[in-house]
Formats: sequence, structure tokens, C-alpha cells
Amino acid sequence: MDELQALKEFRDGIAGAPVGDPARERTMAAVRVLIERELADPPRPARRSARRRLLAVGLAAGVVTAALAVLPLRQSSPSLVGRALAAIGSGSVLHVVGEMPTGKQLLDLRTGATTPVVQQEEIWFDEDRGLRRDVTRIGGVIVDDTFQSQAGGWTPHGIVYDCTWIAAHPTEATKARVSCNPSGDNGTTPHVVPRPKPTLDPGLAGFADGYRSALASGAARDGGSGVLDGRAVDWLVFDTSEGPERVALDATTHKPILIDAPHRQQLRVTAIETTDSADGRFQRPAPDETPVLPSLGKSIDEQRLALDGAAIGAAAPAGVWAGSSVAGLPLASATVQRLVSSYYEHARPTQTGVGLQLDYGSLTADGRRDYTKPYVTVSEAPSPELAAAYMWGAIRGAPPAPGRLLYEPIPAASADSTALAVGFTVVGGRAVAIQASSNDLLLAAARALRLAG
Amino acid sequence: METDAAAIRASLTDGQAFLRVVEGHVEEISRYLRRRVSREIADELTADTFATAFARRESYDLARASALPWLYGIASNLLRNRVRHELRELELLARVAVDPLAQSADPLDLVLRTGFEPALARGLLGLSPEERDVLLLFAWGDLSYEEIAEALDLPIGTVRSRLSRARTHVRASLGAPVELKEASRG
Repeated sequence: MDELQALKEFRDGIAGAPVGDPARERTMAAVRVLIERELADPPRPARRSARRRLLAVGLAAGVVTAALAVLPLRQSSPSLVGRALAAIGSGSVLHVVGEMPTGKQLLDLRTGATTPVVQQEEIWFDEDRGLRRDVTRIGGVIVDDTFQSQAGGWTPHGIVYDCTWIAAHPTEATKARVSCNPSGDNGTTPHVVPRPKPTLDPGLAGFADGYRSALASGAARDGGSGVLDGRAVDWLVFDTSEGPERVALDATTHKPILIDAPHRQQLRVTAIETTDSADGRFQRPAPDETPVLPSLGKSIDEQRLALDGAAIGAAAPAGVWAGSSVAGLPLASATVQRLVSSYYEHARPTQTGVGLQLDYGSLTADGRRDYTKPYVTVSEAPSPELAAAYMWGAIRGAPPAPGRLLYEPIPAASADSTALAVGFTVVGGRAVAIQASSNDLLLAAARALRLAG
Repeated sequence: METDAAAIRASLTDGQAFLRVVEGHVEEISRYLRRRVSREIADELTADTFATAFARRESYDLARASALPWLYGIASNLLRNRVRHELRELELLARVAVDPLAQSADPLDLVLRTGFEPALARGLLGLSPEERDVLLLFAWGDLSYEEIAEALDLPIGTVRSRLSRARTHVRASLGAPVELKEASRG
């Protein structure tokens, strides 16, 4: 069974909400309430509708873009466009570097100081030639690298399957178990399917011509002036299918400094320019620039240990623990496990080692961790690679330095009995993953870690 | 047969018309959500998905006949706030081979159907939330690359690379051999 078939069967017995299901009625009721509210207070017609009609009339009459560019969106718009145009170069390639939050933090366990972990996005985009390169880094480590062109897409690990490639290589695609048909049937006859050109977020792509085309076509509108992080900005608004996307242009440099798109993390633009010298970027990503990480980690052959530091230290030399209790939660279970980390296509030899897992809190009647009560689980491996079985792969990016905890705090609104806080740290060379039912328990365990025995 | 776009267009002047969109897709969206998080949370998110869709219907691209990708996108975005619940259920399944979601749907489903479930859960746990969204919209939502790109507002190349990586990772978690040398982990 391949992974897609297995996934399709996974939880296949779970049904939706048919007619008569309370969830369906609840959903209908929620929408009916909104309809009634709207009837009581009808929305005012959107101004942009009138402007779009005006633009449509202009286009129908054969009015060219140059004329549209000076339509009075608001009094300051012509100067806004002019200033934005002055900010760009004359190159054909757009180069953007930006940052967005990951939601994770690095906590200095000694001082308590926290630093947000950001994800850096670097994009090279040539719209005319249909080329795009995206490099994503966290903590300076490349975690994603994709090159897209009219000839196909590549990552450091090979091609990106797309419907164009699959249509052209049906037999190979079937062997690779990829298909663009829900049935999975690729046939055997190659077909030509045009590959769409790469695109770019409108708030970034528009910079290439100072947002002139976007403003002229009505794709962007003037959103007024404001202040962002103490800097004066002019706002542009793009109406996308998901809602308005707002772009803040620095009022002095006239470059975009923030892209605020619906339902996505805000992108802080740290550099944007046009250039002609980017051909070196438009090539297949090199495998040696991206860390090779285990694709699978397993923990097997579990053996229970006595619940004292000496026994734990003897079974797992150099192992660490948080003591016989954490914040009042007693050590309830200690096990050693054999860890196996393997790599995609055997890019590295399979690694094995000994892991240690400590459960603090309560156990169920069959000896498993009781998730309904407060808990802490400390899982540790001799190396980050061997910690793949303990969700270490979720770090994406550089591992935390010793003395620091990488974690994502549980928002207060989510702090219920099912909460799961996860953190990672390195103690005495051991890669440690901590799971806990609250932020406080997570931090208490991280601070208490020390050599067992 | 009326398209979703026609119903949404009609709903701009007569909100009642939007109920036809709800009727047409609520079962599918609720099933997708119930496969990802507990029934209690899924049912709450189902109502939120359609309420959000109604509130945002003015921004719907009426050139798109089916609203299903758009609705999946809203549901996926709402799920992001509940990712810990999803991880917790998967972790439980991976560790103790009992699926709390199946348990809540039907006690008979306590018996795992294929035996692959714990390995699949491990595979899904190892994905980023973004990769998990793409993979499950492909596998459970039956969306095409283009529809996933539309649903999640992503470049199609990103959809391809995330799906490729996610499939490879889950395939590895099942212990299946990889047959094509050029297969991408991207």
C-alpha cells in the first residue's frame, strides 16, 4: 500500500455532518444569525466597486494604461506612484529578503531572556523569463530551497513533480506513485501540458514597476497614510480572493516594509531591489547547502528502569533527568529505548543509539502516560540526529545552543487540559525534547535538567 | 445546476442564497475537520468556517465555479489555531496505537483498520503544519495542485514542493521503499 492509499484509508470511517446532524444544524444556525444581522444592518456598497466600473469603462473605450495610471485614486496617489517608481532600480529581476515570525522563542534558561525565532525568506523573481528561486532559512540554516522555471521545479533533493512532468513521463510517474488524477491512473502515453509561469505575491511583485500597473488596473488602491513601528508609511491595499492584502511603503524610502496578507504571517521586508545580475541564482539548488536530516526516527525495544537517578544514570550513561519530581509531579516512569534514525534514499548510513524517556505525572491503569492530568515527558538522545524519534525534526533550522530552550509557548486561550507544550534543548551534549501540559511545567522541567546518577 | 459562484453572487443581495453553499459543502468540510481534530472542536470549526465564508463572500472570486477550495482554505486557516490539539491526538495514536478521533466517532473503530495508523501518525507528526495542510487537502480533500494553491493562497510551486516532501516523509514513515532516484524531498 502506498502512502496516499494509506492516508485515504486513515480515519476513513469518520463521517461528516449529514442532514439532521446537530453540527450541520449548528452551522446553518450560525449563518442564519449573520444573515438576519445583515438584514437588520445592510452593508454599505464598497467604494471600490464604483472605481472598478469606472476602470472597466475606460478599458472598453480603449484608454491605455498610461492614462489609467493617473486616475485620481486619491489626491496624493500620483505622487505616491512617482515616489515608489523612484525607489526601484532598472533591473529585470526582483530580489526580496523578508522575515516572518515562526511563533517559536529561544529562552536563555539562566537569565530568562527570550528571543523570537524568525524565518527568513529570500526570493529572486524574473517575471518575464518565468524564473523564481525561494530560499527559506531559520537561524541561518536553509530549510527550504526551490527553483521554479518553465522547464520544471527543483529542490536540493531532485525534481518537483508537477502535472506537466507527470503528463510528459506517465510511466515514470506511475513508478514514483504520483499522479494528477484522483484515480492514480497516468496512462502510458506522454502528453504535453503547459506549465504555468511562477507568480509572486502581488504586494511584492507590484514593486517591480513602482506599483504603477497594480494601481492602474485597480488591483491595488491607495490605503492612506499611517505610522508603523514609529515609521511614517503609505498603505497600498490589494483585494485578493482571501480578503484585502495591505502593503506598507516606507514614506521616506518608498520601499515596501511590511506585507500583511489575510491568514498569513506578516512578512517584514528587510531588503528589496531590482537587479540584472541574478543568473547565478536561477539554477537547481545545490544539495550540499541544505542539511541532510533523518527522514525517519523510531524508538523500539523499550525497557523499564527503576525510578531513581542511579539506575537511570547506569542504564543511560551521560543521561540527564529533572530529578525525582518536577513542580510536584512525581517521576512515574523511566524507560530506555533503542533509537534508529534512517535517511531518505540512504543519503547517510542508518544510525542507532540509546534513548531515555522519563514521564512525570500520572499513569493510566495500563502503565501509559495519563494525558487527562498534568504531565511532563522528557525524551533524550545522544545526538540531534538520533532524537528524530522524539519530534526533533520539528525544530527546522539550527538546534538550540546549550543553555537555551527552543519552544513555542501555548497561548493563554489554549491552555486547557489537552494543551501540549513542546520544547527542545541540549544538556551535556544530549538532545532533549520536553513535552508538557503547560508552559510553566515545560520551563520547570527544562531548568531542572541535570546529569542523572 | 447552480454553481457556488452563482449562489454567492445571489447572496450579495439576498443573504439567504448563501445557505445553498452551506448545504452543498457542510458535510464534506465537517468530515475533513473531524478527521483532523476531535469532533467537538471540528464541529465548532465547521460553523466558524461557514460563518467566516459568509462574512467574506464579497471577496470571493466569482470566476471560480466551486467554492470548495475556498472553504477548505478557510477551514485550514482556522485549524492553525488548534494545531496543538491535532498534534496531541496524533501523538497518542503514534504511541499507544489508539486513535482518539476514531474512538469519538464510533467505538467499533477502536480496532485499527489497516495497522498503518501509528506509523502514519508518526509521519504526520514529523511534518510542518504547512506541509500537513497541503498533504491532507490532497489526500482527504481530493483537491488538485491548483485548488490547493487557491485554497492556501500559495504559489503552485510551493504546493508542489511541500506535497512532494510531505509524501516522501510519510512514505518513509511507512517503511516503503523509494523507487525513483529523482524523487524529491524538497
